[in-house]
Amino acid sequence: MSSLPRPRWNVLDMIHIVGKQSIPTYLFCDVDMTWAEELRGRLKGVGQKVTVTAILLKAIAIAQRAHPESRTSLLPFGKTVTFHDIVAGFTVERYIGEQPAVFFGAIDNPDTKSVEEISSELKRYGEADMHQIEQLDRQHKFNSMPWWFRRMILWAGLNFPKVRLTYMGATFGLSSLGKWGMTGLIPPCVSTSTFGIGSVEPRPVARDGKVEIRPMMTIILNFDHRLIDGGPAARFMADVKRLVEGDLENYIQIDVPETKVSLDQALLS
Amino acid sequence: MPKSKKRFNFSLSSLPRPRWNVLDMIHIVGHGAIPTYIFCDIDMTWAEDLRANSAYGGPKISYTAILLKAIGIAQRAHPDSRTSILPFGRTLTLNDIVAGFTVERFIGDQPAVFFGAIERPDIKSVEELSTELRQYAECDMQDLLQLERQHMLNGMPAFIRRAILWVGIRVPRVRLAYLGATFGLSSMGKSITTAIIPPCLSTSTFGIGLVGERPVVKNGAVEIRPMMTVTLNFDHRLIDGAPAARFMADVKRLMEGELANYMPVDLAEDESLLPSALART
Repeated sequence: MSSLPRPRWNVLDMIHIVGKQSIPTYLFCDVDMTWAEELRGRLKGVGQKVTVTAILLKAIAIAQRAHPESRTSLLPFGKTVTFHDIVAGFTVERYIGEQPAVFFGAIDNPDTKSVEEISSELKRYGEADMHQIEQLDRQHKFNSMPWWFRRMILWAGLNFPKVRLTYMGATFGLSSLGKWGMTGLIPPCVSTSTFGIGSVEPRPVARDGKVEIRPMMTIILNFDHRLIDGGPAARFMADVKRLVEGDLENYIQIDVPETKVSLDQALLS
Repeated sequence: MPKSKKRFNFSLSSLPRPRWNVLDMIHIVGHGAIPTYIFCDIDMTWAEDLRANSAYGGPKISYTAILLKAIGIAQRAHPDSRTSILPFGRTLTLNDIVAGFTVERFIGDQPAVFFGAIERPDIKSVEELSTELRQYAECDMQDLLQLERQHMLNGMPAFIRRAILWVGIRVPRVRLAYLGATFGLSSMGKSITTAIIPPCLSTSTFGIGLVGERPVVKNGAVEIRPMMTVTLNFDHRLIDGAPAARFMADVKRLMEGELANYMPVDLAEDESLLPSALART
């Protein structure tokens, strides 16, 4: 017999308090990663290592612009709050001593950042010292607080948008098990849109009436049915799929430093 | 228009008594769990070979037997997969691996789910496991203590069943006396089911789909292989996604051939060579 390890309370609080009332609903989608793999190859040629997760974060964020309900949360008495600054949330596994624990990373405005930038931020989350990243350091400190205090802060966060945004502004969540060769993952419903990512693997698929081998990836969207219905969630997912399968190209050319800001602002409006 | 009275066509009855066995598990044991799902496709070529090459005249090896052994061995290295929760954030790790699995039995005309248990599947041979599994499916209910006890418990009033289960999930000794399973497995192998998500009744619960021929990519070419989809439903209160994926990856590796390394050892006369010795060090 022992106790639940302290660092794991980070994810336990999220599941117990934030995800408590949600109505999880699951959407499965197979995405053809040919374009994404080709982009990774292209960037590798110029010395930039870009992860699949980085491409996904950018695609989902761009899709979220057109789907405000995917970044809406519930407040008491049937009120809702929609967050307008898109922030990518993702799980990071870190070891506290010997104990693996889940932390939540956040990247601001992944829709306007380049995939290279997102990749280097992701890498920092995985590798840098816990104390050097404010988000991780704060969660680590928060874990050692007494449970009534953690509960109180999370309660405030769920009820007052300003409190939530200072602590964690993620408009969607993403959890990837690609590294371990799993086909798919249904993540717990801890935000309105939570994505579970499987690994990219060659699979036989039908293209123009012929069997071809393509790098494929299964994405599962766990959406909170209190806030989105199946139809809108499917349209959101379809946008993500289209972007990852090649439409992202149109958003990548704009990322030339000088024109980036003005053009992205134009797209937002 | 003549006024016609609408006829309602329905009939009322009670939940069949034998089904309370699984209902109690879902309502009381699984209550409060945070189910999270991992899907994994396993290439069953090696396992099929093993079945085909099993000793002539010996017991027929079932897929479930191979799975129980593989999961049992994988659980040695993943203590969190056999940890359950007690009140006040306390946890309980069971150190003797016991395979739990569902058995469908008919009580009269009523099909009902019972829970079988096989101790130490990690050190038993797949032939032994197959024989024990067949016993669970075929022998008389009265002849198997585990089934007999569950059948008797089903006949008790609700408050007694509830009281026993309530104690069982709080006091480890009571639990172990009743059902010591460190993982659960539910197989739909004989039907047409591609995959099944089982309810979250233990920290690691596996749902097994049928073994079917599917086109897959091997070394850059499309091949037809016997494939099986395994779904792991894990209780997120006790394991996180990444450790659960590493556990599942170990099961996959064992099923795809590594189990062969654990087979010859089972013939060893010397106790110290048995895998149990490895697990305890």
